[in-house]
Amino acid sequence: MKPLRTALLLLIAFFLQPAAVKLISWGGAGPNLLLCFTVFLVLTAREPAPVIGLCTAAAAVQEMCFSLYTGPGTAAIFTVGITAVLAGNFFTVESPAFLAGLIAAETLLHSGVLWVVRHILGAPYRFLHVLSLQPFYILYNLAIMALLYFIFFKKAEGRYSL
Amino acid sequence: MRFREHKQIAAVILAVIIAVALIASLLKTGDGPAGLKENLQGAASYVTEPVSKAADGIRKGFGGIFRFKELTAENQRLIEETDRLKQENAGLALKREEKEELEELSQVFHYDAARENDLQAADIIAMDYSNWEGVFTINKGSEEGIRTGCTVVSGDGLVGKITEVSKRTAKVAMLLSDNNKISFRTAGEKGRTGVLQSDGGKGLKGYLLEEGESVSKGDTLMTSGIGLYAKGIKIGRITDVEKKTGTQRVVVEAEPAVSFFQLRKVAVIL
Repeated sequence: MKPLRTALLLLIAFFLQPAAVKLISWGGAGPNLLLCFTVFLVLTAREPAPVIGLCTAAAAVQEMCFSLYTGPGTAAIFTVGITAVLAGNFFTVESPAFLAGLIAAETLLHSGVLWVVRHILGAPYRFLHVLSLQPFYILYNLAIMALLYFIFFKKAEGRYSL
Repeated sequence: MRFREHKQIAAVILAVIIAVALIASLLKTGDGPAGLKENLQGAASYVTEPVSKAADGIRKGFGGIFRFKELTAENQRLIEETDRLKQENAGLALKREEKEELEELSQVFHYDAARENDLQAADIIAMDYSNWEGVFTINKGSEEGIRTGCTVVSGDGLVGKITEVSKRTAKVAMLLSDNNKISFRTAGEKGRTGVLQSDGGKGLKGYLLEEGESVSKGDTLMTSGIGLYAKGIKIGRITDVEKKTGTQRVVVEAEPAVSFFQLRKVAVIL
């Protein structure tokens, strides 16, 4: 992915996530743009490390601006980035089935890390409650990933040609 | 190890150092007037506020288009209903009980605290729907007199409290995201007192302070004025009552009066 596109996607995630996702949210759930873009950007980067760094920094600033705690979301996005790199080494990233499975797994992982760190910091939410919300988050993230797939992946000659 | 691999590891280490430095600097300067966090929040609000308002506009516009027929029919029905009520109203005098009920309702919607203090209306400019944190940002901050700990309400009842303030914005923690206890009193003459807190999900859980007292499902809970929140604000409705055998403690479960994720505007009690 070209640096300009990467920056643009991260800016979109940073500003649209808190301000415009309400347009498509339902029952208090919505997509996690930063998570989806992190997975997508990491998979399409020749050198994923700087991309993970950028996405982690975006998550840290987003948390500072809009969250109660700074740290849980940053740690979660960092973990998502690292695991996406590992998954990308073992599977064909152009496969829609792989992307769907990966985004579902990353959504669960992201929520798990968020819950653990927030729990340590004193958030009251029960793990079962968090788990009950996951199907909605996964569906939304799948929809965003499908959109990215049809916009970018399908037309690309290779994963690094975007 | 090849140079490229070195470069990747160096980049990851650099990213971690930057993230740790950001967090450390925010911990150090977060409370100061020119803190990094406050500056970031202020800068972000210049973009999120217009984006949020545009999104609200789009939502309303689409809603109006899809519900045009429904709204026209509803409008006609309301006109007829108003005419009928006007005629009925002319011939009716308020009974004593009705008057008391109206006074109670008035208390709910006008809040004691609101009468005694100033209210600051605010728009919600940022709320994350991708996780369950239960926090949102409003477009009013310390310049409008908002302070950490101020009570936040909506037309339906208690929303939460201010947890962080910058010059132009403030963060609000919803009731459900807060570990703090809320002191309540049941509405009506025989007000029973107790404490509630988030049940870790979508509801509230607590107990009555006096053992052996009784409350019923459906009873309305109001803030008692003791503790963090101002007095006389509707918290929610009791959904379950259980008397613990042995201890005589009455445990209550309640559902909040406010639909948190439907909120667009709130008021802060200064």
